[in-house]
Amino acid sequence: MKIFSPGRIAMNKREKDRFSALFWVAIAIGICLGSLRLSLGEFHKPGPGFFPFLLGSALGLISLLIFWQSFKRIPGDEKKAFWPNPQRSLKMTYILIALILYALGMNYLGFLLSTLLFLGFLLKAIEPQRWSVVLSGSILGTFFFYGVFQYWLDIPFPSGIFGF
Amino acid sequence: MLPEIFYGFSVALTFQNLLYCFLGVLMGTLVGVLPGLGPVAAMSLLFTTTLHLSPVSGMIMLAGIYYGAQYGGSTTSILLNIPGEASSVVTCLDGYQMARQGRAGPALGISAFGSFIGGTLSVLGLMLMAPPLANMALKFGFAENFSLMCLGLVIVSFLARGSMLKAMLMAVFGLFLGTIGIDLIVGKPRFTLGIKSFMDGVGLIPIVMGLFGISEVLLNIEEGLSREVFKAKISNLLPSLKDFKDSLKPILRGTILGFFLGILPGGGAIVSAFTSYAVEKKLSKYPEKFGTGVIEGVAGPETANNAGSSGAFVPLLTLGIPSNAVMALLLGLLLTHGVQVGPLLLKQHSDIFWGVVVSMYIGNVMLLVLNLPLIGLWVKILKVPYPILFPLILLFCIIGSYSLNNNTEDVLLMIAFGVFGYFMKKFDYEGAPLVLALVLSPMMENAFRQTLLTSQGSFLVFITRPISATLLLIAVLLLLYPLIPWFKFRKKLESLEADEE
Repeated sequence: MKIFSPGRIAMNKREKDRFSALFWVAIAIGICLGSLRLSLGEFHKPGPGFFPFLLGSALGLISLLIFWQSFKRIPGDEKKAFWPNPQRSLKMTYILIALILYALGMNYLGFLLSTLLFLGFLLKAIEPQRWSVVLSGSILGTFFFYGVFQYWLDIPFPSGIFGF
Repeated sequence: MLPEIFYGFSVALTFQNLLYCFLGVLMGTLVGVLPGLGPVAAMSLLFTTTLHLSPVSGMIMLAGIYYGAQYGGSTTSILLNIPGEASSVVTCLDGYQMARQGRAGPALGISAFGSFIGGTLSVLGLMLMAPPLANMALKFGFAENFSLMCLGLVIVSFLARGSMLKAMLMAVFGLFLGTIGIDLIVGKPRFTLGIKSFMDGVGLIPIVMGLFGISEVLLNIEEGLSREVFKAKISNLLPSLKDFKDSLKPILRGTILGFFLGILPGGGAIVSAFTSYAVEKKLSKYPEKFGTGVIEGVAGPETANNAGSSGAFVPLLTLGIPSNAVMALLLGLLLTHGVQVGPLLLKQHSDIFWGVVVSMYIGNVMLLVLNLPLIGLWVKILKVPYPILFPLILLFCIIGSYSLNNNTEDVLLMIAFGVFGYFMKKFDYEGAPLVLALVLSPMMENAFRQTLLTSQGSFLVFITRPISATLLLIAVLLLLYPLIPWFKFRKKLESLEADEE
């Protein structure tokens, strides 16, 4: 039995606004509490928390206004699937995972190897290309970027545990 | 002013600056042509590279990307019915129809000529307007500066495409993000969450790349971006004499409109193009034909978006206040180089001001030369499939963020803001006000705290000083403006109820 199916989540504009407003209210409360811990100071000598506290309060106020507005009826405001095509959304998730792994793995595997794997994965797994395209694209892409940034622009890349 | 212009030419015509100007407009045209990579993301990517250059060369290159993208954006609008840039959205309406009728050449031609004329004339406007405006801004104190920045952010929210409240919320959140890091007055870390790289504040580039680069790729993959390039052969790029005659007035009107709308915060190229289209339709003898392939519908907006991008430089170079996300990046570049941006820029760094302004003339000529004969090349680039393009865009973004401080924390921050940007777009929030506010935040907080220190804690100083009071009054009026329909609605409802009784 499927407990959670992202494809089934559907919201209309008002629900989206209400949901996002609540998120921002939570952020605003966090900012205000954090600002109080930093000390607000006095009006003639504002402390480090004073300006962020004002911003947190403004954020909270605007979020509440959005929340209040979300109860106003909008003609033709129909529910739409938040992720209308779960298969494509899954591809998007793969990209995100690849990005995080690439960012974390670059220091261990080195720029060359991690970039080869990263480009190869994106070219083969997301919108599958022929192997010739995958291999040539990832090899050419990796060495092009390496050449431009490492040698031309003098930006040092990590060499990783294999030394390259 | 003539000696200053000559001085500007002497700066812009050095081999190095010419090269960076060329690279900038070339890159700009390229990112304008390629959907999914806008000028903001491209400028962020090259931001680190420009730090190795002098501030003038860096500014010339980044500015070239900006106005070059306006040129390139029209190509995709006309040939694909997909705007390469948001400012080219209206060009799709008539440009694509012209292409379908076998008039892609004249549409591309007039957009290049219009862009050239609009870009060049508005640079002239910038040269004339900047010095007196900078002189006026010299009278500004902390209170006036704070009020001006408040007004700027309110105008950005007011002109936002979607909900004004949501744009304001993003601006306030951007201001908050700008407070992260060590407080410069008392030296206390604020909201750093124990992350070392947050001590110096959250990086502008990872945030911009996340919001404008990564999130765009995620959305494109989710929606499945499909493109079909217009198959007809493009010939005869020179518009006919009749085309020129029909386009002359829209081009001139587009220049004036674009320039003045570009000066407004949040204005810039997008609002200019939309307004120009609306004006041309209103003034036309055959408004019903708009949308069916009328050349005025291409000439006006294409001119206006380029004029608008030059107009946007006025508040940056005179007041030190960016009017959109692109200008915020340019301000970031100058601040990183330790250049004091504001009314004194013209006097203390005249090489930057005049060098950049004159380079825009040269850049516009380069763009005209690049765009017309190289149309075939741009069309070929357009044919690169998105599944091959997007990994390269992602790699560009990662390397751009990594190269800032050579650490992966910035890359992770960029990914986090990519996810944030994805959800914000899903929930109809805009990223531009956030970026603008993020750059303004440290200046705004400093102006605010200094004002309170000097006024011994009295907030009245903001409304007792005439310039500050006027600026705040305009801001309040703009904030109240959306309530007018609500009052009208209430009044109508009351009168209806009274009638029923």
